[in-house]
Amino acid sequence: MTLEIVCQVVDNYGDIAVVWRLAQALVEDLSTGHHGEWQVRILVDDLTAFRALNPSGNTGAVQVVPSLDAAALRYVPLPEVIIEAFGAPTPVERLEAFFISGAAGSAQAKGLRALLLVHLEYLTAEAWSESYHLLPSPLGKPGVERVFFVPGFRERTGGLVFTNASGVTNPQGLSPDLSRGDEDLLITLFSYEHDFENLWTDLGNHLRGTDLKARVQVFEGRQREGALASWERVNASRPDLAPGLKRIALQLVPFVDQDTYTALVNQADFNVVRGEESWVTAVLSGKPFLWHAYLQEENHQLVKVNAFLEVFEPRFTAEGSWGAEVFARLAQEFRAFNKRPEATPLRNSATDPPAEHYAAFFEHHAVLSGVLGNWALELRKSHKLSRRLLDFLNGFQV
Amino acid sequence: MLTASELKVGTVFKVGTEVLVVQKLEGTKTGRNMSVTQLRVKNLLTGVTAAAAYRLSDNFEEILLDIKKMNFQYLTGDTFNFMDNESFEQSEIDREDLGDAPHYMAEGMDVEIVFYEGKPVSVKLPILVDRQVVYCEPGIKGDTSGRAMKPAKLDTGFDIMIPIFVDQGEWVRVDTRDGSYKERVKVTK
Repeated sequence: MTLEIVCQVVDNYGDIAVVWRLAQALVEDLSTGHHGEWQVRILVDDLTAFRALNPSGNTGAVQVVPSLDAAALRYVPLPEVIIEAFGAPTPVERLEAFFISGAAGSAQAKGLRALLLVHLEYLTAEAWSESYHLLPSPLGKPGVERVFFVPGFRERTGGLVFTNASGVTNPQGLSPDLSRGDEDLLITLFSYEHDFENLWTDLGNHLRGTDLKARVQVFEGRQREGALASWERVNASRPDLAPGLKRIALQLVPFVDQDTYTALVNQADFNVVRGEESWVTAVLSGKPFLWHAYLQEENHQLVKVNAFLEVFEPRFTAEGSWGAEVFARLAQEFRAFNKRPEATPLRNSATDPPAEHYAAFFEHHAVLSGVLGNWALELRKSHKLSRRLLDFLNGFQV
Repeated sequence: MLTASELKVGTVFKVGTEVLVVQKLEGTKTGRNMSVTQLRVKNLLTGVTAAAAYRLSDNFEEILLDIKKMNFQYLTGDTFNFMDNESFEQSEIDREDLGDAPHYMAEGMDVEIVFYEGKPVSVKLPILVDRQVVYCEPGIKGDTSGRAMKPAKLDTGFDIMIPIFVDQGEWVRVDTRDGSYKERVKVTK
């Protein structure tokens, strides 16, 4: 039987990155032999984006079809399960054929209750993720059922998209220039547009008067302009910080594939991440991080940020008053980093004065690493989305 | 065509071969680039009630329905009895098919009853209804800002929040979409 994931590349690599990771995770879980016989297929409309994430072109057991055009898909066999990722639409003609196949009883012939159409939603930590997960969405098509599958950090959600292999720091051998050297603090920056002045000043202050060294890996992408401009500005305007700033090495990292990025996040001490895929990578690295949420109307991204903070707050407060204190500072920086000034256009800015501070991440690094590391272990053990999805599909068998 | 964003309690819509009536709106949640609404629906062909979710952009086939103005007569157990204001014919609807409507209906009230293939399936209420407060703590004069609220019981048995200046026995205007207080009204009955 075939499980087909539909992906539409909209404005960046985020959606295809999650879909590719999901496909690999499914294959990984299926290889244990505990989840039945499923082939995994991706339909994607932009092969260029996919190749950037996986330049080797080796897709292993995952079949990748580079089209969402109905005519081109005419000879691609219909699947038993379609997963429409993040609103990506199955071509109408293919969907009609899927419905006809369902009405003809093709699911029952394969031992399934029905053909299944899955709406895979974006990850959120909000409480509603539990009540919406697995809600049916009746189609009124005989032999076909549709359901919402909602990823999340909470217990009764679809979980998180990751592979077991993505926890490895050095999967295929990082090049020496990207590998950890003799620095004491390794930081990665991969966010939306942002002014990082406070990172440089706080890091400069942290390093001043010590013999510690730091390296900051600035990835190619939307945050780089703001990172570099603020770096030059701080160096020019804060001679008092020169002793600390001299201890920071800035490294511009070109676009890297998904495995390399994951390995870099895993080896770093502190990561600034964005969106969904790198957010999950950072959470599962167990290292302190700052998340730049996808910007939404009326600062709605703050609702998402607060929900995320709410989910892991108990892990800090369980440590006593000092845990609550550390969490309060962490939460303050998450909110400050993500709040956009009122009445500004709906886009991130590389020049708006930053409100967040980074000192807490350096001062409480050990505490944060301990709490987040334990949480990451638990999530890896119990929150794997691919496993939850396959378990759900098992329940679909008659 | 009807979109999911237009669904209300009592709306009857067709999805493929199924005819569903909305019994309850559980809320709408906004994801990164789409919104999803959660409902409780009853399949009018099978009688099965279930939770369901749709993207607000989902389209449905509209159904031609008969709507009659009827008067709510009485309640027996969980069955509501209505009388046609013109023909005096009586119809019954189960509580579970009425969604939140019983919160706002008192005997003798005129409502619109929706019929599908000759069978009463739901009720359409006006957006605003006037109901009497039958219990609340005594009103506090002076604060008419409407910001300080207190719980109150309506003559339908439903509890809402009202401003502290409203007194027991007074009438209030209530929004039937969310049960919120709108204003104090004078009713001569």
